[in-house]
Amino acid sequence: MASRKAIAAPFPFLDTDARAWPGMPELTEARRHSLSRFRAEALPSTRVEAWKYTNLAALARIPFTAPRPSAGDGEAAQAAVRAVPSDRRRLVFVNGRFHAASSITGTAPQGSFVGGLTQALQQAPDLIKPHLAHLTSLDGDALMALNTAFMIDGAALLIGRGQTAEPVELIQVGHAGEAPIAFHPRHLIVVEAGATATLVETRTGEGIYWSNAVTTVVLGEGATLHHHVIQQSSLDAFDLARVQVIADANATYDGSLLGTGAALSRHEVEGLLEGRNVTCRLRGAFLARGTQIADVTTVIDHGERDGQSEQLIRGVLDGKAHGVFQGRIVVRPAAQKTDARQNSNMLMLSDGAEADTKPELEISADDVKCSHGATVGELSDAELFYLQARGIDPDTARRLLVSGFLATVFETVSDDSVRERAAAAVEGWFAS
Amino acid sequence: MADASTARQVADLGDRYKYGFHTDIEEDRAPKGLNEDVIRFISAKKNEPAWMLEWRLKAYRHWLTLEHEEPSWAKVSYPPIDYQDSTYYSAPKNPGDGPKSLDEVDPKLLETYEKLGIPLRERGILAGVAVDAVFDSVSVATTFKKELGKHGVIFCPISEAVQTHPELVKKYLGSVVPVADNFFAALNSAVFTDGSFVYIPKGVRFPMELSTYFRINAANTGQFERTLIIADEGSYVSYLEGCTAPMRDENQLHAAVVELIALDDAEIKYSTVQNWYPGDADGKGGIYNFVTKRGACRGRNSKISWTQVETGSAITWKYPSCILQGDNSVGEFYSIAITNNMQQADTGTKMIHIGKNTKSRIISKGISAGRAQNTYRGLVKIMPKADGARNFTQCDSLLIGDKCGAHTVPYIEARNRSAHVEHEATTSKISEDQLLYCRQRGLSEEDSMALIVNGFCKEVLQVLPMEFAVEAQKLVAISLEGSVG
Repeated sequence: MASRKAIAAPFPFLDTDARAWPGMPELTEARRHSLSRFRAEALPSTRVEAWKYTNLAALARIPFTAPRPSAGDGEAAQAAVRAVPSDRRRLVFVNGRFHAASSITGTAPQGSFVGGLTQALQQAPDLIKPHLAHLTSLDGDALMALNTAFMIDGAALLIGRGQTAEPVELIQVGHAGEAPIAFHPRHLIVVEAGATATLVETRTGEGIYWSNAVTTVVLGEGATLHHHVIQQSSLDAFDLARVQVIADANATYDGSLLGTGAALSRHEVEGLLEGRNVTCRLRGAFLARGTQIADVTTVIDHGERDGQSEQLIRGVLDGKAHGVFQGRIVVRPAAQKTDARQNSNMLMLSDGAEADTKPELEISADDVKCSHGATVGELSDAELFYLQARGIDPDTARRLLVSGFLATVFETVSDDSVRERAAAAVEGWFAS
Repeated sequence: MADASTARQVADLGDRYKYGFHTDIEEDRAPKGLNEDVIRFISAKKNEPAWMLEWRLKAYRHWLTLEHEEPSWAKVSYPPIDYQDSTYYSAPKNPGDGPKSLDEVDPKLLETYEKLGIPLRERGILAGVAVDAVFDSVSVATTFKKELGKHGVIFCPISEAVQTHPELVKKYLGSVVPVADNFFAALNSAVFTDGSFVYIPKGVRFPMELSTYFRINAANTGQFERTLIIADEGSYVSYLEGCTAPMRDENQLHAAVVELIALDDAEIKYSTVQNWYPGDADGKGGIYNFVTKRGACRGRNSKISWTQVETGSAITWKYPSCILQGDNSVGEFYSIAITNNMQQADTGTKMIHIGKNTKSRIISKGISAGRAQNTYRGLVKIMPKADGARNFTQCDSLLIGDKCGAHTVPYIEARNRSAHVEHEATTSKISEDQLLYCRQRGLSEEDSMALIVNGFCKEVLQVLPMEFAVEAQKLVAISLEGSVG
């Protein structure tokens, strides 16, 4: 083991048996391989460049076990559902397991499926089969391998050719009792050629748990996915989420994140723009205080010509919080006429806070427009003074400025309810 | 400082040197390879005091522990270097070895000198021609020495300073770049052969540019150059390193270390033009330039400004940095890095803000052509006590052709809320419109491009000292020759 690049992580759950999945004998082999890889590589330390600023040492010290279904799960699921102001179709997961009783899947038209992933393997194997390779892939880092070794379920959103699907809520609840638990959701989102889908993800929870999620998004030619995440996990939780987007020609991935929860969170988006003229829009906002660590990491990989990507990431840090943004734009030799833009802004509200930013451009084509801008700073005295001079007390003035700073991120989100929920989450953060 | 055990150690080493080595000192060349004996040989050749040898050995022993830690994070690739396959000391070449006259020099080299407008007499020196005629610079050097003496400025080879000003060397050498700093700095500390030493006394604003060019004995500073510049309270100095003309050198690996120290109210302006042999169009040969340059703004209101024009070398690995310790101190980094053909450059800076109200400014212009890879890598770090720190960074990349790469990797680390850090980076190509505009006005394609590229670099070119700036503009154009079309 490359000692200084790894943190030993002898989690008790590593010894539990991973589940076989119906109709997927290949998975058994992939799991075996992935588990031995994780045992060999362990958790990445801060000496691994991708984890330079986010230290997983605290995670490695916790004796996580595998979750067991408990009597309180239904109650937790219901509470989470009540907190989401929406009557849309919903997929509810408790500790990574599909909770059918709280979910509303509706009836999907021919060629589509909305439900749990293990359920999909049984009920719609023909729809899943072409994408099986994504589930058994041996690529990725140690955390990805860990997910493959222990994934038990996740959302399956498969939208058939040319269909416009009604928005779907994905509600995920972490529900840990006395013992800390770890689970590894694996979501598969496939939007076929010309289809359009919207997925709104909410994560909440209680207790000490570790969610190590992987979402694979496959976009066919001209497909569109709006993917919004509101992360309000337990303040004792570790919330690691990786979204991998594979986009074909003329497709659009339109994503947003609002994060206020978790002791340590990392939202990672890897966009592989494989076809021509792909549009990728990422917006992210996080608020952290106390000793929270919030990390947003993105890689936009322009593989073909005429692609457009746009990123706006903003963080607000109070107390002794630590905010991280790493954003890499890659433009391959074939990706001429790429237009890639990225902006990140960190706002520091206190003296103990720490902000680390690493925007990165890796450009191998000449006829492109690529730029990034990054700022770190505190609230402007002039702006505070302006508001106070108009009779607004300092606390309210600060709140207004921070809300405005973050609202800009969501201005371009077309889904009204997401914008409203993001604003409510920011308000909630101030109130808590 | 030295306790009994170090004293004993030094004595032991002295003994070894005395009995084991005095016979070899007459040799012109150290045996191939690197070991403690070779370091003792170099130290003995330079007639160094025991503390200097001990310092070198400490660096060497540390370097040995770094065996597997040769930096690999930079975006450059080269075959593994066999450090035992080099000669770490050789006396300056016998004048008889070089070409006998300019007629024997590679015509391509002469063509470049012509374009740069280098005076005839100097071309011979640059090309390594054995000219023993008296040339202008000797008389220049004499007047120059007078001026130095008048101001009490010390400017001499560092090997001489070890003898004549040991207290200054002892106090400051390795105080900015410690022997254990990194792989190449440790190697340099162990085997450095020579370099410049500058001390500017209190309150002196030295009116002339100091340049290695004027330093007698600068001809063969070797592949492991070591430079130390100290600007005492209230002083000012501008230092020029390198020259625009391509330099011939037999050694492939260059690992220099430069340390700058600015005390209260002092200012150091350090300008470099680097134009080492870049290898041929297919990437054969060329210098590996692995340099550690760092300045410490120790005093209040001190300022260090780095300006570099990097056009040469097969591989450039270089991050001139500023440690802003003193309150109100200022660090600046202005850079033009041009890579063509198969060249690779990974260069940038680190600005470490420690004192209050410290300010830094980074302007980087990267130009990549041919199949070259050009990376800006930089760190801006604001420490918790650095109230009111400010940084502005701008990195622009220009791509010429579709086979090259331009990369930007900035790190921004803020630990103080009053910090204001702004970073922006862009990547673009020379637009058809710009080219057309120039061509319509009768400029050739190459001249048009030179004009546009010089415009792209102007923010950096204009901070260069006058004599460098004129040459650098021509150099920018020449470096990109053959990249049009």
